[in-house]
Parts: sequence; structure tokens; C-alpha cells
Amino acid sequence: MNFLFSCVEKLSLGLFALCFSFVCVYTPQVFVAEAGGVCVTATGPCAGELSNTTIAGNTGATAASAAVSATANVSTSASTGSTFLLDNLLDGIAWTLGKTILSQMTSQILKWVNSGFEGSPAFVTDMKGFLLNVSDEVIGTYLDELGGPFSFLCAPFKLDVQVAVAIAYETARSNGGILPPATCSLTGALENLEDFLGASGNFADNGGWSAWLKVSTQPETYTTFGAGIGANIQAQARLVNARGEEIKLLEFGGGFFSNKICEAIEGPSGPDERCSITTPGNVISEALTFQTSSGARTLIEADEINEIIAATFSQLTQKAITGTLGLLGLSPGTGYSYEGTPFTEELMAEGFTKDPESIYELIVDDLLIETTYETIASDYRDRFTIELLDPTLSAEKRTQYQDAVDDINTIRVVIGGNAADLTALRDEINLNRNGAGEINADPAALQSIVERYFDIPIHTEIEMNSNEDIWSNMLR
Amino acid sequence: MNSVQNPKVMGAFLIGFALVGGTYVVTNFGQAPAASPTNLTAAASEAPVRLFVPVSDSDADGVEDWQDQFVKAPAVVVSDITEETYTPPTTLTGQMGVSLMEDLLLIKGGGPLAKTEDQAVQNIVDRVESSSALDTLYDVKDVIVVRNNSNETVRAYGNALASIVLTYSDANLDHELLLLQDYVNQPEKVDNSKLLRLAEVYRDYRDNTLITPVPSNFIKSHLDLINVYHAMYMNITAMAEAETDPVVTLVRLKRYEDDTLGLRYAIENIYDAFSTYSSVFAADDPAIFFARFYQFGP
Repeated sequence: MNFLFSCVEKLSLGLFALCFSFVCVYTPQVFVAEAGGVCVTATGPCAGELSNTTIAGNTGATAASAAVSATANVSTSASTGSTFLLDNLLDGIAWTLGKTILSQMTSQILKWVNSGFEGSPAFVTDMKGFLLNVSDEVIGTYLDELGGPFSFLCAPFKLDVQVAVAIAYETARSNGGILPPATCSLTGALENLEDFLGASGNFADNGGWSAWLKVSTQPETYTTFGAGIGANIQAQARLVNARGEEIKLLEFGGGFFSNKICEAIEGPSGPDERCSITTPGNVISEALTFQTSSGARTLIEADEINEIIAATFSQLTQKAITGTLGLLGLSPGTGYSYEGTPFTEELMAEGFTKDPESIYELIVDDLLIETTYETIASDYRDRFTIELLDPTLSAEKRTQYQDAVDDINTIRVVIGGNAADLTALRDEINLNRNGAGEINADPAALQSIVERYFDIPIHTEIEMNSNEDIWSNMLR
Repeated sequence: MNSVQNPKVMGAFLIGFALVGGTYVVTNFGQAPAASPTNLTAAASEAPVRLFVPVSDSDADGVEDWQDQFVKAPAVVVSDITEETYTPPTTLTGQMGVSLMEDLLLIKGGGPLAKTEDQAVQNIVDRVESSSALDTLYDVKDVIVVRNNSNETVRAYGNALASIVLTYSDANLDHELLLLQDYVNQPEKVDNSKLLRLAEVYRDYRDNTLITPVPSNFIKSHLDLINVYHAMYMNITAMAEAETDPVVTLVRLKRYEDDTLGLRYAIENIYDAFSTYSSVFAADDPAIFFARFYQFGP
């Protein structure tokens, strides 16, 4: 007995140790179901399986069983929705496409420019004059402002600066209105300041440290030269802005805009090509300038060209096409939500807008079927009701006939609703007919009619004939 | 004291020690002890000698090879553009470029009266998208509708739809994005014939589905499927133009992702429509394709 007890004790202890060891060393593994037709969940896609017998017994199925992943191109295309391919391929493809577009666009633009613009606006042949007019207007306005009551110039030398700016502009006008860089620097201005300080020999007589501090910290306000420099800088800025030549940083994909431009040269061993990397804006700008009378002046800055091309690219590549352009508004019931007009609505709206008679014919046909069905159902209900009055009718037959009457009543309720809805739709369409009998409803109204039509649970002719046969057999 | 000498308690202790010790050994066995740092004396190592890396220009075009790799697009050859007779561009890409420059010049000439750059860009983009990204939608009058929704009709319809996919598919074709990638990356080695073949597959899907009589209960899902096939056909046809008219390809790529999702939804909707008729289909019916797509598809 002791031996038995000892054995039980050891076995229990061993079992405990085994369990403990198992818990220590066990690593949970994710269960992976074998592909072969087992539904993943009871309520998932398999819940409403097309045919329960199919999945379970598809061993001998035809090519259909292997079609999904292997041969059907629709499957490989639809797999794009898994985003793997999109994530890994589309960016690279779009980048390469963008570069190709840039090259082709540049080539075509250059051809067009070098052809003499092919009927382009005539002003490009006198761009210099055009730009000068713009500059004259701008500088005139600015000089007026300089002399005005709210000018930043101090009164003692306001006129001097105005005259200086005007002279500088006139001097520069021969160069297309571009003001020359300031030749008098702040250092130069301070040298003049030293002259001023040294003239009287008495520092205190000329305002002392206070005056010196003002002059030295705000030379653009308190010295003639500083004010002149400031005014010229502002004038320059205005002229630049007026011609839309302000410098803007082009940030489009870091280097995306670099292009390889090649030209033919005469090499040591014959014709050769010499290439350089530049932007489309540069090469187009050069060509434009060469083709116009503006000589060395730049017609349109390279950055401006790059900028407008970049803006176009930005718009073209923006992810904005959905709905009627894409097909994401496909239809309800997929769990997919879409903010725009559902695709099917667009579809129906466009189709019946073009040919609204087709929906009218469908409605009239269906109304005829419902009316006929109502006549048949009423007839059989009466016949079953009469039979039910027969006291000799067997209990089994009585039950059958009573069930049939109940069914017919239910069907007639649906028929009545369908007929009313179809009649209303038919009349609504007829109300929109013009004098010539053509349907003249607006697309939104037609779309509404189509939607309501598709919502009606119409009976089919086959359904009607089938029930008629059943009722007829019951009465035999 | 008796309890200490109890063999059961002692045995339990021994087993416990053995388990803990065993677990420790198993856990650490085989792992090399972390090397303890030695000679932690701070020392500034000598900087490696910087070597001159020779640059090459294998195609002798003046642009070094390392720069070439950043400019993958075809070079713009200036010498080729001086033609005696000018032919306006026939591709959307070329037309877009010329239109942009015309607008830019008009903006310059028109001053405040001209449209703004933003308007010019938007006009161009609208024009490009309307000419290449909008498809004709097929509707009810384009398909053959039958009033018969009997089980036999539905079964025949489902099998016909699936048979079209199974018959006209081409198992030798890769995914269209892979084909496109090969084409745009190596246009000199890879032609667009496979993309064109794949476009034909979708065209065949579309055309044969159009002539398949559809029971009236399936009109919506049927039209969805046709329009998705058509969109895919247009997308892949545009992909095949990546080298000749890349703007069209780019614009179609914008809607491509939506269209592939649409394709998936369209097939799933077909499955949903058939699911209420599940009992009429047999195990070896081609229509089982739709069920398997739903179950094992993307």
C-alpha cells in the first residue's frame, strides 16, 4: 500500500513538474489555416458562401478553383488594393514618368519657340518696350511716394534723394530699367560722416554722442547717402516685383527639375554632343530670349518657367480624382463610404438623361405585369374562397386552400404597392413631357425616378406564371 | 524539525531547484558571454586617408556618369529642334507644354488684364484631365436585359460571367504595374507589347460582358463590372503610352488606384448578388470563381 501511495505521489509530482516545465518553455504559435477552402470565420466572407457544397467538395472542380490567384488578370489587378504594389512601385513609376514628361515638354516648347512662336502674341517681339513701360509707371509712382507726407525720408534731404533716385533710374533706363547696384556702401556713408565730424573740430558742437548714435544706428534715416541707398534698394525691389521677377525657391522634389540638355558640337573626330545638366526653365528661357528683340535681356526668367511647370505637375499629380473619374463610388453595400456622388447614380443619371424613354418603357412593362398578376391573383383568391365554403372539403385540402388564400393576400398587398409606385413614376414622367411628347425632365428628376424604380420589388413574368401553375394544380 | 526531514518536502525542494537550474541553463546555454571592454583608454584614431575617386564619362557627353544617374529621362537635344517646318505637337504632353508657355507669355503681355498663373495652370490641368481621365460610362441601354430571374437564368448568367474571365485571361502576363515599371525603366529593352496585350484582355472582358444577357435583378452589379473593366482597359492602354505620351499615363495613374479598388468591389458585389442563389450552382460551375475570389482574393 505504501508502495502504491509512493507511486501515486511521484506520478503527481512528476506531472506537476511536467506542467511547470511546459509552461516555462512553451512559445505560442500563430495558427495558420491551410489554403484549401476552410472559412476563416463563421461570420466573414464565407458566411454566405455561394454554394456550401462547393467549397467543401471542390476537389474535382474545374478551372474555376484555380482561377483566382493564378490565371485571372482581374485577380492580379484587384490585388493592387493590398497596397503593396502601390507602395513599392507607383512612386518610382511616377518619378520616371515625370522626368520623361519634362523632357518631352521641353523639346516641344523649344520647337515651338524656335519656329517663331507659330502665331503667338505679337508683344513678344517688343518685350523690351513692354517691360520699360511697366518700369516707368512703377518708378513714377514710387518717386511720388518718396516726396509725399508719409515718406520715410527726412525732410532736409528728401528732395535730394528723390532727384538721386530719378537720375539713377534714367541712367539705368537704357538698360531696360534695371537700376545699377549701389556704388555707395554703408562704409562710404560713414566716411562722409567722419568728414562731417571732423569739419567743425568740435565733437560736442555737432550733437555729441547722442547725434552720433542716431546717425550711426539709423544711417538710412539720418544720412543722405543711407537714405539714397535705402531708396534705391526699395526702388529696385519694386521694379523687380513689377516684372514678376522676384526670386522664389523652387522646391519640387529636390532635383526633379534637373534636365540633361545636349547640343551638337564639332569634336576632334567629327560631330559630337556636349551635354550639361540644367533646368527646363533655363533652356527655354534662353531660347525665348534669343528669339525675341530683347537681346541680352531675359524675356521670362527661368525660375518663372520652372515654377509654372512645377505648379502644373503639382496639380496633375495631386490625388484628387475620385468618384466619377475613379470608380470608388461604385455602389452601396460594400462598407465603402464615399463623399461624392455614387458611381451608380452618375451612371443612371447619365444613361437615362440621354435616353429617358427607356426607363419609361421599363416602368410601363412592369406595370402591365403587376396589373395582370393582380387579375390572376384575385381570380384564384375568389376560387379558393368558394372552395373553402364547401363543407365536404377535406381537412388537408382546406388547409392548403387557406394557405394559398393567405399567400395570395400577401402577394396582392405587394402588387398593390408596386402598381401604385409604378403608376406614380409613369405619371411623373408623363408630366415632364413637352408639347412634342418628348420627356423633358431635368437630370436630377430623372435620376430620382430611376432610383425609385430600382427600389420597387417588382414581380417578374416567370414568377407570376409559376404561381399561376401552382394554384391551378391545387384546384384540380 | 520532523517536517524538514520529511522526504516529500526535501524531494519537492530538489525538484524545484532542478527545474529552476535547468531553466537557467537552457536559457543561457550557447550564448557567448558579452565581451567585457578592455583597454578603455581614450585614443583618437587616425582619420582614414581620403582617396581620390576618379570620375568617368563613359558616353563622353560632358556629363559624368555619377550625374547621369540623376537624369534618367531622355536628354533634350537642342540640335534636333531647329526644324525647317514646324509641326505642332500631336501628343497631349507636347500640347500641354506649348499651351503652358503660350499662357505664360500672355500673362506677361496682358498685365493685370490677363489671367493669373494659377488660372492658367488650372485650365491646362482641367483640359488634360477631361481629355484623358474621363471615361464613357456604359448604362442600361448598352446591355441586354432579360426579365427572367429564374434560377436557371441566374446560373447561366453567373457561369457566363465567370467563363469570360477564365477564357480571356492570359496567365503569362504579370501585374500591370510590374509591366509598366519594366517599360518605363528600360524603354530601350522592353517594349509595350505586354501592356497592350493586357489591355486587350480587359477589352475582351468588357466586350463579352456587354453582350451577355443580364437578368434584371443583376443590372447594377453587371454595369459596375463592365465599367470597371472599361476603366482598367483605358488605364492599361494609357500605361502602354508611357514613352510616347507620358502625361496621359500620369493622369490615368491618378485614378488607377481607385479603379483597382472598384474592380475588387465590383466582383464582390457580383458575389453578393449571387449569394442568394447559392443553391442553384454546382461544385464545378465556373461561377465558383466569384466565391473563391471573395474567399481567397485580395
